[in-house]
Amino acid sequence: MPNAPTVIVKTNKVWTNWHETVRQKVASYVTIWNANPNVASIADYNATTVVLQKQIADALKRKLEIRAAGGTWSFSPVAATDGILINTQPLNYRFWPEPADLTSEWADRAESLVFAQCGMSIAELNEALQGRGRSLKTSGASNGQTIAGAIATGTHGSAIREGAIHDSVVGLHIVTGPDRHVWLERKTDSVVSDAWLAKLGAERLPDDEVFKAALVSLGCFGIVHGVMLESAEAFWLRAYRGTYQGNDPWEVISQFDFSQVAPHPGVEPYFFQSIFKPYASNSPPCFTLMYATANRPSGPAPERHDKWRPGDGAAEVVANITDLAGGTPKFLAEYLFKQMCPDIDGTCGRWGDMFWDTSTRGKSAGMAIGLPLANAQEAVEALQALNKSYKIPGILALRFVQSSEATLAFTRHAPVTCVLDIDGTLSKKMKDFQEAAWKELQSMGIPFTFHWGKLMPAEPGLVEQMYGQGTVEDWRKGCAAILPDPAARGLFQCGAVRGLGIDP
Amino acid sequence: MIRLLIALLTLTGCWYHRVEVPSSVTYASEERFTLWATGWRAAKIDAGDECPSQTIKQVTVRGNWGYSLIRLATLGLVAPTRVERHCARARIDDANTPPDTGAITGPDGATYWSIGLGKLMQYEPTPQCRGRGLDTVAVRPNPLFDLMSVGTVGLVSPLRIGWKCRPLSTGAP
Repeated sequence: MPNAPTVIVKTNKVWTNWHETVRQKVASYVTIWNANPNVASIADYNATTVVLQKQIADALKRKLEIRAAGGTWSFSPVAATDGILINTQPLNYRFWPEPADLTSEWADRAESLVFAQCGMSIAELNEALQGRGRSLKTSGASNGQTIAGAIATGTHGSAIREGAIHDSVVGLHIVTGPDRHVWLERKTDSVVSDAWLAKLGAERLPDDEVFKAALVSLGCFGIVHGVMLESAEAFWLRAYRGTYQGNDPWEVISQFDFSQVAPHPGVEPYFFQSIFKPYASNSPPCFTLMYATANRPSGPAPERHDKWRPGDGAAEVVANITDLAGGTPKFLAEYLFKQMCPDIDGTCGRWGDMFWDTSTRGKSAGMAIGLPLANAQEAVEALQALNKSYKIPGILALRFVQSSEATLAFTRHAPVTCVLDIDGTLSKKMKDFQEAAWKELQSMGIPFTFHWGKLMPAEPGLVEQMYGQGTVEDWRKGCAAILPDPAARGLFQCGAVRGLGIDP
Repeated sequence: MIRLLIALLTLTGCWYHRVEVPSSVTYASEERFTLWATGWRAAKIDAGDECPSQTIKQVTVRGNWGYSLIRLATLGLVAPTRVERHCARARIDDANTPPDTGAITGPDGATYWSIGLGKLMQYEPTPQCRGRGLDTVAVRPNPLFDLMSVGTVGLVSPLRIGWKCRPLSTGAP
C-alpha cells in the first residue's frame, strides 16, 4: 500500500513568475509532493495521478480553470490562471524503461529513453542522464524549466542540426479528467508495450496528428504528468565565444558555412549562436561556437557564479535609467553587451555543464521571434535601423533550430528556424521596441511566429495569421480528441490562450 | 539630478540576504515567516514539516526596520528575523545518483553583504553543497551589523550567516 502524496493548498495567493512579468491572483495554489519524494516508484507515481484527478474533479465542482505551472520560467502568462494552479515542481520522479516496457521496435533502444515526471527540471534531467552516459540533445540557455513546461511552450536551444526539446518526445502521459488518463504516442511509431500501460493504468491513444498537436499544448490538453523522452549518447562540448573576425558574418549564418570560422575552420559546431549589437549596425557579431566530441577534450570547466553578483533590482535600475535618459547611453549599451557576451576560450563540459543555473533575477524582458533562416539578415538589419529611435537596453541574438512537426511549434519554419531574441531589461523603451519590431517584420512581409513562453502580443487573429487557420484548427481538433467534452476542454484554458483567440 | 533621484527611488524597499545552494535541486515551494531568537542565540531555519524533501534550496533573510530597531535596542538579546524559505526538490536516490560524501558544515558564520538594499549588488559566499540541499541556516545576531544597516538606510548591510548541508537520504527499497 503506497503512502499518500502530500498536498499543500494555499488560497488567494498572488503567483509571480521567475522574471516578474506576470502577477496573478489564484483561487487555489496547490503544491503536490510525491508520497516518497526521494525514492521513485510507479506505485507512488500512480498515487500522484490520482491526486491530479482529484484536483480536476475539484475544479469541475468549483467551476474553476485548472492549469499546471512548471519552473515559472515563461515571460508570458501562458501558465497563469485565476482558478487552480498546480505547482508541479516537486514532481520529479524519473524511470528508466526496461525492454519489456517497450514495443519490439524500441526494445533494443531502451537505454535511450527516460520517462520523466512533469516537474523534473532540465537540470535534473541533465544530471540523471549523465549518470547513465546519456544526454539531452538540446535545451534552453539555462536549466530551470520543468520538462512539461519546456515542451508545452516550445522551448528550444541552438543545436543547429537538432529540433527543440519537444522534438525528442516520443510519448506523453496526460491526466484528462477525474476518471481518465491517457498515454499519447504516434500511431506510426508506437513506443510502449501493454505492460507499460498496465503499470500506469493509462488508456492508449495512438494518433500521429493528435500527438503532434499535444506536443506544444500550451497546457490546454490536460495535465501532462509524464514525458517519455529520447536522449542521445553522452558527448562533450568545447566552447568558444568572441567577436567574429572574418569577412561577412551572414555567409556563416545563412549557409552554416564554417569553413573560415576560427578556431576550427571547416568544422561544423554542434551549437551556434550569434549576438548582434542593436545600436551598431556595422559592428561584427559575437559568435558562440560549441564543438561536440565523444571524449573529454582538454580545457577548463565552465566558470560558476562569482561571490559578488547583481542584486535583484539591478535590471530594474538599468531599465529606469534608460527610460529616463531617453535611451541607453553608448557606454552602458557596450557594458550590457559585454555582460551578455563574455569571451570564452575552450571551456569544456557535458551538456549540463554548459547550460547551467541562471543567476539572472529581477525584471527582464525576453521576446523570441521565429522566422525562416533566409530572412534573418534583413530582419536583423531592419531592427538595428529601428533601434536608432529606441536605443534599447538589450541585445539581438540569433539561434538556430531544425523545423518542428509539432502543430503549434513556433520553430516551424523549414528547413531551419532562426530564432531572433530581443532580450534585455524590462523598460518601457524595450516593450515599445518589441512591439514595433514585430510590426516592422509584419510590414516587410517576413513570415514570423512567437515563442509561446516569451513576451508576445495578445492579439486575437494573430496566431491564425502566423500559423494559418487550418493549422490552428488541427490543434483544436487534437485537443478535442483528447478532451471530447467541451466542459472538460474549458477547464484547461486560461486568459492568455483565450486572449489569442485560439481556445479549443 | 531630478532624473537621478527618480531612478534612485527604484531602490526603495528593504534589504535582503540570500543563502542558496548552487545545484540542480531547484526550489519547489516557499514559505515566509518570522523567527524570534532570544538570549543572543542564532535564529535557525530548518526544513520543517513543510518540506517533504527535508532539504532547503534557498533562504532569503528580509531586512526590516522594526526588527532591526528591536535587535539594536536589546543589543541582540531579542532578535526577530523575517525569512523566506524555499524547499528543495527531492533528490531521487537511485543507482544514477552521484555518491554522497556526507554532510558538510559551513563556516560558523560567513558575512553576507547587501549593497543598495540588496538590489544593486549582493555578496553571497555560496555554500558548496552541490548535489545536496541545506539542512539548517543560522542567522547570528550582531548589533554592530544592525547599526550599519540602519545607519546607512540599508545601503550597506552585512549579516552573519552559518549553514549546514544535508546528506542525501540513503537506501532505496
